[in-house]
Amino acid sequence: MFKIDIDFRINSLARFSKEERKLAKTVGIGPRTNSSTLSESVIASAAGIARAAVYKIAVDTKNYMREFINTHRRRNPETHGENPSEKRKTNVDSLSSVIDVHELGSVPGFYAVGVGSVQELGVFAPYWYLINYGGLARVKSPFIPGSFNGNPADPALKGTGIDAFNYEKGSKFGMSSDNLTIILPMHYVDRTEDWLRQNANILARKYGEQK
Amino acid sequence: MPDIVFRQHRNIELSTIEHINTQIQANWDNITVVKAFAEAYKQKLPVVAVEVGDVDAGRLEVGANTLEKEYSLTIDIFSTSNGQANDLAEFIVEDVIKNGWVYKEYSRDSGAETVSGVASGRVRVSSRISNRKLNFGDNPANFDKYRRIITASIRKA
Repeated sequence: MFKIDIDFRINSLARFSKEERKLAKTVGIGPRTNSSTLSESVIASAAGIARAAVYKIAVDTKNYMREFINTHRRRNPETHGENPSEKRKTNVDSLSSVIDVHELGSVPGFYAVGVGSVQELGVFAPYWYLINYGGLARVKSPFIPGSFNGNPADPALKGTGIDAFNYEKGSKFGMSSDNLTIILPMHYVDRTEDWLRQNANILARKYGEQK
Repeated sequence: MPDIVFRQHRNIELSTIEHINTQIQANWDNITVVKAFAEAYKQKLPVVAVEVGDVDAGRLEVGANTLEKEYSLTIDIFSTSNGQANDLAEFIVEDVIKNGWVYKEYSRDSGAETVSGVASGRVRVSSRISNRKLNFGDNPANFDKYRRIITASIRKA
């Protein structure tokens, strides 16, 4: 869903916070150290700090997206029945829980993480696209066993029949409906993208070179 | 003095819908512009649904009490073919919203059914405009077959 990658070069320690400079000192980086004079191990340590910052923003992005989804949900997860054993995950529950952070690649000077895997969403939360963009969904109601005076529903008598439908547990006859329902868009991807854009810019100014 | 004076969020929303509707009616035939997403499904294709949604507000400057508000603009295009959706989306981005539009302050007299607007600045696209094709799989409902979505962040200039 999102890929955050950053090229980071150690140009100036002024970009680092007090704690990070303290950490850098322990591996021998001084305030006026030029990147060309740094040993590989020192660069690796500083790169580790930047990498940790990128990973942290990915985790924050995941948390922001999950929170956005949960605060914008339109259906209470406990509407599936009074008995706790009857409760099951809604589509929004599945969506929220499957969004996670994935490390995509790491080579010297480059690190990439992703938030939300389209493949995983396709398997565990296939409605992620519809919940984000909105649209028409085919909603099939549960099958209710029963009959019209012992007879199955006759489509030819729709609206004109005189027998009432009676619920009969275990009956081989029954009714269910199949309707198209409008799902309103949540736009959680765009809202998270806005949030990520703001925070990634801060990160890129501090550690990276923007392409 | 009008009885009801609208605030910025509604003014931005109404200014935006009025501008997009005017431009589309002047340049295209038989396209309906509606305010809300769900309303689109009650119309005949093609339809353009315009929504001004969430607000992000930050301080205009350090120490100031003035807020700088950014609104999310979402334009859903429901079309009858891919080509029409592409052309319409590009028209909206390039010729309708890219350069901003007039911001109006709207008001309504008590009992009146219509609102009136007075120009009072401009609405600008503040950061990004994205224009995406939506793909709902192999067998989508007729309304979702040829859809595009345009999103942008806008603010009053």
